[in-house]
Amino acid sequence: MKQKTLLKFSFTTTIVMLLLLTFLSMNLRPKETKISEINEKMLNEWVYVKGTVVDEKVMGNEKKIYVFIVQDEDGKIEVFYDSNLTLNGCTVKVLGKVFQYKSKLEIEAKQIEIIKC
Amino acid sequence: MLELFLSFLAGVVAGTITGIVPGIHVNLIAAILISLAFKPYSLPLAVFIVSMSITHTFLDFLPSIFLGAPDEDTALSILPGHKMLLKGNGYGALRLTAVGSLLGLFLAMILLPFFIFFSSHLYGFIRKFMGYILIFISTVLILKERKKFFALFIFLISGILGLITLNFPLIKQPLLPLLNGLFGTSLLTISFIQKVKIPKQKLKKERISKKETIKALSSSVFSSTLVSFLPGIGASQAAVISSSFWKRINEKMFLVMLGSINTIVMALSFSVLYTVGKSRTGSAAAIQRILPTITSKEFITLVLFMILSGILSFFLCDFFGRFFARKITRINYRWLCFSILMLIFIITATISGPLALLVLVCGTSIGILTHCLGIRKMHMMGCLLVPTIINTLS
Repeated sequence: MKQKTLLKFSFTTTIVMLLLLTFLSMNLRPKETKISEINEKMLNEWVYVKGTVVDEKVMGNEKKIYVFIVQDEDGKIEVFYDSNLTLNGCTVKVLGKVFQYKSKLEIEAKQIEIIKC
Repeated sequence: MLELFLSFLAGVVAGTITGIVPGIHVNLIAAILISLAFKPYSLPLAVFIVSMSITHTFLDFLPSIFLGAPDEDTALSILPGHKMLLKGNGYGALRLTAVGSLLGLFLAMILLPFFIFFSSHLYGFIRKFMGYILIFISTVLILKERKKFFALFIFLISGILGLITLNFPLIKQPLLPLLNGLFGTSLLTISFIQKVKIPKQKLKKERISKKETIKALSSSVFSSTLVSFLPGIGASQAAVISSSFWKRINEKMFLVMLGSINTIVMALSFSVLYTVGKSRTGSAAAIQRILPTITSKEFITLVLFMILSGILSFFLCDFFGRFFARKITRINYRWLCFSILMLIFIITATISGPLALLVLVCGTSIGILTHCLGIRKMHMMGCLLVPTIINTLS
């Protein structure tokens, strides 16, 4: 294959693939996980949970972190988010990664969708 | 004592396997061990993980140089390693990385007391300025390139691919398709298309001057120390930082540098765990789970087994290097490339999921594009640098 053809082909593939990946990453979500099913083996993995915010608090001095306690029918978990939202009592869907802080499992949210408030 | 020694030997065997077989990382084995719920507070298990991890840092250059299948820490070694393989010096290239790893390990051990003493002060400082340091280094590297616009273009599109992949919830172990695509499958595809033939390999030990070795090691120590404190930054970013230090860096120096960085970063991650209590590699995280608080006595034991693993791994690397160098010319390289390409596709789909294949194809295209444009593959490290810069500055 000629160098020029290879160049054109790889450039086109790169652009098409980047557009396709952007579209898919914005529209595809993992399967919903029950909060009680989240365990240590899922550390650093993406989860998608649905529940009601039963409490919220603000942590940190310089950089504020907003913490929401999300509860479903089986369990509850702390969700960390870097934007200020008032969600107490709302039903939300949280997309984020599982992490451990002081031997407690928590979710670092990338996106919070409000279902009902 | 016997159980510690047996754990050390088992760790070296496991590290050899994870190093040689493309796609299997020590983190995977460490995660499996943890999930098997071994007795907690077990020093033998920690010795196993330390020995496996150090051995892995020596052996993981083998698939990268001979097969063109890198892992996250050896991606940059492909280009100079493969170049030397095509000149019949694959064994020499591997030996240079092994020399670098061994010297790096000794240097890390010598510097350990200073590192332990200063780490708490360095931690805050590096954390604060890492984003700016990486922007400065990326700019320097792009400006050093003759085709600056293309270098910037490759840096940015690799960065976009990195951002998408690392934030894609349906892709597990995202570094696997990302780095294999950009650095591994792209090179294998080019070799397959261009019908590359591997010449007879010489079993010659490559010589490198003392001055060049000191230059390579000094920049490695600096950059490895810098990255050891931060999560998500590893040997590849340290290699980019080290490369920006010198105006000209030849392939031998580069291989010694990569070897030393790979081992120093791993060794220092255990020290950071001991001093600051933070885990910065998968192996350190596993040890943190097994030994929540490491005593001085336990740390000294781990250090001793790190040194022993390093010495043994050096000879293992030499043995397997000779073995691969003898065998590789007897195989049809074009079909070997095709088989490894298929293997990487299967491993990626199995471990990271079917959507990861799109990342692999995109990374391969960017790798081929970089080759066609005639610019250095290092700019593709934008795939990790751009997300790291955004994370540390936000």
